[in-house]
Amino acid sequence: MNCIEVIGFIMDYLDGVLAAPARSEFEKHLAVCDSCTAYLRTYRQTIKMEIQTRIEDVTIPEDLVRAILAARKM
Amino acid sequence: MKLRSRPKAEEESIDALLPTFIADGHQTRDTVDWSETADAALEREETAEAVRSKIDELPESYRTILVMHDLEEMSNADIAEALGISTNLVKVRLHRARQALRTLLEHQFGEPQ
Repeated sequence: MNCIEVIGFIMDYLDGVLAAPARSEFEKHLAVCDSCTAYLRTYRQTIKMEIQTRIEDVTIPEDLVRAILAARKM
Repeated sequence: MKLRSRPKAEEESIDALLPTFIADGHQTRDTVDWSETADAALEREETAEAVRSKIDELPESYRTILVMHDLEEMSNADIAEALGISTNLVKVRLHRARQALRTLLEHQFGEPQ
């Protein structure tokens, strides 16, 4: 595999749906290509940062907070 | 996460935000790993707002799929049905949307502050 193929397969690789032979080729390329390794890491970081924006939007229900505080007092 | 409304515009191309390659299939320029810098920035309150702002910069047809999949946790099949497009097109647009967002975040976190 070369860089264009590896970058094309990143989503399938992270989703764990890349077939074993392709996965092996994918990882072989990563072992010798710092640029694709950086691309994979920053692609994964991008998803992590997206999810972080979702987490910060979540409001914890007051009932749940009260239940947790009550449980800690027991 | 809420979808933010904004004025309808002509569909913009996302190509400028996708990686480019030379004839032998290698990347035109080396990618720099900015993931640790960005990870440290996650602790700052303004980072989430910066990421939301970058998501808002994506063309609507890509932004919609990215939000439905990554933030609303909808399956590719459900997104395809909701938008009346194929599951394969959902996958292609999701991957491109993430790549484009990666490039936008690289501008924010991958260059000297």
